[in-house]
Amino acid sequence: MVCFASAGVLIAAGFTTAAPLRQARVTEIVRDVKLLANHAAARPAAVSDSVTADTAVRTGTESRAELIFNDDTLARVGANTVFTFDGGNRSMDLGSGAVLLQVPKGAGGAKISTPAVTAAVTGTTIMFEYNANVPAKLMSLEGVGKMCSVKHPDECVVVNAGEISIFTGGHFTKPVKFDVRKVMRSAKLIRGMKHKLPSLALINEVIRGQGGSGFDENVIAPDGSVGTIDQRLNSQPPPPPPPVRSPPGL
Amino acid sequence: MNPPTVRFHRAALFTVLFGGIALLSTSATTYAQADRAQTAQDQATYASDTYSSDSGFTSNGHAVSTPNDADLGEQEIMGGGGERYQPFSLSVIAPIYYTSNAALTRFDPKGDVFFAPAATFSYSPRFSSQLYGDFAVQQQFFYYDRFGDLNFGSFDTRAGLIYLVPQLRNLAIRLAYDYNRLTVSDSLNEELFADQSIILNLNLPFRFSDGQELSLGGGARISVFGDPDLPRRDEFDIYLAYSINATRAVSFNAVGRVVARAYVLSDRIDVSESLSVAASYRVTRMISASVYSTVAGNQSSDKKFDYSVANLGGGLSLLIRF
Repeated sequence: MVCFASAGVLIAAGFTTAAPLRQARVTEIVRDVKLLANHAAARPAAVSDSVTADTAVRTGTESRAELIFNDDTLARVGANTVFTFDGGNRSMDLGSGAVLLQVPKGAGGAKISTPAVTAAVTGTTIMFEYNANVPAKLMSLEGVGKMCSVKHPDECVVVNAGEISIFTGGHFTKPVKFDVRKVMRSAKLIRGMKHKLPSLALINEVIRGQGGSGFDENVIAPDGSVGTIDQRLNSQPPPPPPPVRSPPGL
Repeated sequence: MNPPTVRFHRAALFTVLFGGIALLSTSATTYAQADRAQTAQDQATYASDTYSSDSGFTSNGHAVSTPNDADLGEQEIMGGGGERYQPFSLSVIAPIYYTSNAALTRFDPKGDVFFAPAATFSYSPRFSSQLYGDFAVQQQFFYYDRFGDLNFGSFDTRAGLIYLVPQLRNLAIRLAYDYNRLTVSDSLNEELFADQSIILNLNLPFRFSDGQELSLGGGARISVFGDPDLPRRDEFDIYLAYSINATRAVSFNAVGRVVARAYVLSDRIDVSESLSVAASYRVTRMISASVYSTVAGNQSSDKKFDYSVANLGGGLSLLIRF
């Protein structure tokens, strides 16, 4: 419970100082990416296109896009995804699909909404997937994220750096560590894009904290800098078990 | 409600639904017992459980497969922690029911109370993120209070595969071989009927919101061998199931089903409809208490096999996964 409270304060603090997400710029496109403005036909997206709150980004099969917002928040949208944002509330709607979200520390938090769950982050790099009728996933590459049930908003789970929680059967699984290095090596939202993640140094520190000596050099920041790493991410003890409901069948 | 528990409860419920005409003749008795026991098997094929999805993680330490896995990368869980997929389960149930039509007769139905304890061991190994094995052994007995002549036992064993399609809402496709053996009362040596069949089942779940699920499914059960031959039949069914976890401990589910049965050695064709509802309270992690209610009817091309029945029951179940 302390963990929830801490995370809640942390995330709330992030939102209180947040500037609105006014617009985003398309910085990378892979295959079929379309922009759907209100009351307008879908049109193919192009690099440097401006995306505002009344515009949805829709990707096709094997397609991806990268957006950078006015506060340097980065969003990478995966295949078969429908993605919109509400600038004033710093919230994003994920109708379906996957998104990688990197919110710079100090820039304010962000929230991803879906029909079943919401995910809130601040100063964090996460990957989040939601598709109707299948489990939803929240993976933190660095920093802390929080996922809550829409139907039972008080039922939440805090996902720390290097952890994944899955919403399945109406319940959250207990967050567990996943191999961040393998994700960095294999995820198309990372390896399938040209640009380096701004938070790469922080992610690499999480990998080191997982005992990842000999990790892939390709995921080291180009300048090799680790000076700004928040060591607490990996040195803090695991949080107490959150009040996660056991999924059916267990 | 835990999926295997659901299967058992439904099995026990439906066991009394589709039997019938047991007092008419020896062969009719076999028909009835085959109906009751085989219908119990039918319930086991309600693949509303999606295996890997329930625990979130697979037996080889990965997150369950989802449509955007390529975007998220290989999600290997470290250190063997977490709620990993548990392929083995042992289940024991002790339900008791009142039925309005114990023998499932068309005329002058007689009510009775029966007890139907069962034990099942199942193994569902994960071969890949989408392919699972499906193996189970079950023994169940049926003891009637007033009509002891109806008592029988049913042994079932099943071996098959289940294939999940995340791109199609986690559609579950089950293909299995099934062996069913009916015995007199609780005597395991006095065989009444043995049947071997192939089961194909499709189950498409829709999860609307937190804890709610609607499943649409159907399939076929084709008898390939029977001894004696007379009760053999092929079955084709469709069903709609709904479940909701109202609280952490309380769940409800309802199943409506229509099944057509074509008897292999005759022109007889039956069509049965049923609607069952159940409420379950999870007493502990492994123990649940449930109540059930079911109404059903059967229309046969041979009118003497028509019947209707209503059942009400409850019981405890124990489920251990490992």
